[in-house]
Amino acid sequence: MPPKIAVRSLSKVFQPAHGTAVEALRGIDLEIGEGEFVSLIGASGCGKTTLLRIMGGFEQASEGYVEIASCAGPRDLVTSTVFQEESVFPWLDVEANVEYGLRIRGMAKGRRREIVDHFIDKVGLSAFKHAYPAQLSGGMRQRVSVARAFANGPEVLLMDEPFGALDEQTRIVLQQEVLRLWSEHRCTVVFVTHSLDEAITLSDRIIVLSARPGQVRADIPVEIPRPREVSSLRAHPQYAGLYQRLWSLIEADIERSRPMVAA
Amino acid sequence: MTDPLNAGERNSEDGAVADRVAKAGVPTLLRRGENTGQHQWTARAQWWLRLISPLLLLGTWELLAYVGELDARFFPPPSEIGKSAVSVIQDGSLWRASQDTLRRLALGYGAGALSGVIIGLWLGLSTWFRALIEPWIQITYPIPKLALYPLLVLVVGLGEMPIIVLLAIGVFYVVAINTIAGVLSIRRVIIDVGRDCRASFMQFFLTIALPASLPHIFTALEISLGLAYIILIGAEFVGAKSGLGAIIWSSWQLFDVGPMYVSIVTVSILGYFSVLATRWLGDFLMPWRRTHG
Repeated sequence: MPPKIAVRSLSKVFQPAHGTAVEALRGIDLEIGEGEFVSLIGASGCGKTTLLRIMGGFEQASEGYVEIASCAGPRDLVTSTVFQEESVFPWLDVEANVEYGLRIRGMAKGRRREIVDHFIDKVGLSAFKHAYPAQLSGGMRQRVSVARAFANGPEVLLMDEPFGALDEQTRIVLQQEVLRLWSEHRCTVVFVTHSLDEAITLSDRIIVLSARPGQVRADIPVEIPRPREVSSLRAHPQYAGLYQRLWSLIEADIERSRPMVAA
Repeated sequence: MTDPLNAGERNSEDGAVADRVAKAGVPTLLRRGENTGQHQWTARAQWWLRLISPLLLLGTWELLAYVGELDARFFPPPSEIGKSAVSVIQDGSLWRASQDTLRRLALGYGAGALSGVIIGLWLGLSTWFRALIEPWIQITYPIPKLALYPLLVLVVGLGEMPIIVLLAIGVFYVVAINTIAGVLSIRRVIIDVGRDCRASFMQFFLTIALPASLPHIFTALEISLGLAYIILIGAEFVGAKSGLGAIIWSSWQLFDVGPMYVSIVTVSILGYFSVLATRWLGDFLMPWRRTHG
């Protein structure tokens, strides 16, 4: 069986209109299996978001390509993305935001409502169905984005540091929600994060990218059994070792990208 | 409303107190944050002042005309204007003129606003269309629209049509330019969500560009309303036999300034209520902006 996602010798060079070219990714080769939860980590600026955006169809690669084995119908979405930035539509209420992707693909209202209600309930926003984003907190708005992506029912869910801008407590709650949703709707997930803890907590596999230009440095399986509890996962015997290993893999990059401080 | 100057008052007092403490070496108690009722009182007084301010102006005018300081042939006292208002209301001429003016406004403004929104959204979304059309708009925008009136008479003939077209052109520019700015100010991630959900061009147009630009569009609708009245009354001076602009011009020429003043006041009242109506429509179409005002 072919992998769900195959990244083949993918490189990306950004050539700005003025200024020097930036090589973001170099020779990425990667395979992700059906139903796998894979995190991409690496020092900031290593191109992990770029790789995700190429998978999502937002950017073109300079060389190589991404192949997704899909059996989606013409009206189904192959991928759906949760963005790091706030991405809910301010002019739609919670329900209409979650419904957006289904509505523009012409799904019948009855079925649409059923799906939307289900996911709004799953992210705990049932009481805020008719609230506008301006009335919600940042964490609640991000839940709306998560619900919208899940409601789209994609084969591959792409998450680009979705909880990066949130406070610790909210992040833990949302990680737990993503784990629960994913356990019910086993889609393939590619999750970009800068948090080692988040990567360990959520993933089956962690891909470590090197500093710019991003290359695959390590491919580390996470063998902590599921279902996992976000709050108690740090006490798991494998956690500390994994954390150490990941840190040692990216430590040098982070040191290098830091501005020099007088010794 | 809090007056920022009043809020700062206490601080200068603090400075004086600090001096005294430094001199005497004896601490003084500073009391802050106590509600003295000062703000409520001034706010209420200012509200009343706002209410009677126009009456003060009218009263001064009346008085100056009464004692003969103002030439009553050109500046009749408000009471005289009031009398001529009663007569033009009773003989129905004010009503007919207002109807004519409002009909032209509705047609011209409506056509200009609608085409401005549609073309503006399209220009904002399509870089190809923008490359083709935007230079034309930029080149022709500075032309004073009233200067086109003679040409328009040549093209569409005499009567109401050139006035309506002129109005539409003037409104179109303001609305189109603001709508383009509205579309271009949409955050990239919002566009990305549309692409993520595989929205078609038409869906981008209706479900993202239009609602996202509504705040810009309504600002433009309000600005262009003022412009619309300027163009409309100006065009009615020269090109209409009926309407408020025509009354203003003809009564001025006849030295019968009463109806002129009545028409001017009527235009300002109509203008005021059309702005209110526009805002109301904006609030109605943008419910998400009402919830956090």
